[in-house]
Amino acid sequence: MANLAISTVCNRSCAYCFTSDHLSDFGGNKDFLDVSDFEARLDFLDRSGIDQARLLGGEPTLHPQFPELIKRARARKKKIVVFTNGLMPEKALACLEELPATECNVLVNVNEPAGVGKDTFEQQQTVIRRLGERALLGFNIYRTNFQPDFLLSLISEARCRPAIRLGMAQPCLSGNNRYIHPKQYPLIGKKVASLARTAARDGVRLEFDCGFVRCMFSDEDLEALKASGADVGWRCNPILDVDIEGRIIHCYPLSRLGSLPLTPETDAQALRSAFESRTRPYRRTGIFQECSTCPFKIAGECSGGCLAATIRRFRNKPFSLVVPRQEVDS
Amino acid sequence: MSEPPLIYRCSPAIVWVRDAGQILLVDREAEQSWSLHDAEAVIWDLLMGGYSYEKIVQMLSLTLSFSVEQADRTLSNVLRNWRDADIVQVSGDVKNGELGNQHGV
Repeated sequence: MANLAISTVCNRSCAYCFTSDHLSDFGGNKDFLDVSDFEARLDFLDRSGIDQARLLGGEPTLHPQFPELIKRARARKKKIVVFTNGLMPEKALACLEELPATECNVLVNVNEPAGVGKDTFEQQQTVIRRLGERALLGFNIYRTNFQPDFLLSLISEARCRPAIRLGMAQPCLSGNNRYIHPKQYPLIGKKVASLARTAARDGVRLEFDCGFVRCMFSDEDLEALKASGADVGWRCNPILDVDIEGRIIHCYPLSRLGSLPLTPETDAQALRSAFESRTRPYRRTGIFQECSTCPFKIAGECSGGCLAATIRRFRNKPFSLVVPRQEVDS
Repeated sequence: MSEPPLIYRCSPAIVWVRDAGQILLVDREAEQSWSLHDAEAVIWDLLMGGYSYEKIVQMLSLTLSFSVEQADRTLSNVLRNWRDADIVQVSGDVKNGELGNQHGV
């Protein structure tokens, strides 16, 4: 799996957006990926044996040649995955509508209608309705008092996939975006379990993005999640995001951990190994003090949460100590 | 004439976090990590508190019920191990204000 950024431009400004570090460090030079560079990205996917072209941004559908990029990816027999806010130009929507639902998955990230305004929400609704089965709703939790019930009526009304991809807003290393603090996780866990119960009654399944941890749910809630068929995973792996300049990062929240260049030889496996080696020392702990001794983490069942949140726990306080010469010479 | 003291400084690449039962150090450049327990963890805490060598010996002795000599030896050994592991760097150059910054000097 690897995500290809094709745009640094976005038509929303979500407070929780985890691209903020990356775009403030590297954005501004170029708005969109050149078509010729997109071919190099597809070469990279081919070399890596990846059969999906996962396109993100910014808002990827704002790319002026979006249909051309889709055409080129399809020519390489790639399944199309698009991460969008749903506010897409007509030509991008028309191009996605033409793809068979089995070959196209459009993750439409929506926020609560009250927060985005009626017009924006209606526009998103129209796009989701037109995409139908190609659309999967994504919902990012960035505050504890979130109200997710609108998602179920949206699914029923728009006849999109009967599933919700839940994300939990994670910090960039700078902490400059809005995110859920680990102390708030148990509260989130309760509400997610409640959503899973309600969703199951409507035949809607929950899927989880990375960063969720086992201990944010009570045993009873874990049972409820399991019974509802939720795709629960306590993951945090190098996703590999390729930016429009050809820099490859572990994932957007960890952008400041450094990047590796995309070369004609690079493949995803080698990159993943390099990032795993870079992050291994930090993975001895997790988002909580207790993670390093947690049996589920030790057994590899839980990652210990988002690595960006974990790294933000670390301190770098210099000290110096004057030591009498005889103490170290002895 | 006695030799000037040595200055032990934390390597700039080191970051650390307090966990349940340990302090975890990570060297961001060498991609290495160390877990500090018991006396090492206490010493790290005291270093972070900015205490002087003599004060650390005294507090180590009180905290771990060591004799002063034992505490002195423990501190000296731990510092030597950290120097060998590049967790700390040693020099004879005292930077401006460095001697005056430590509590209990």
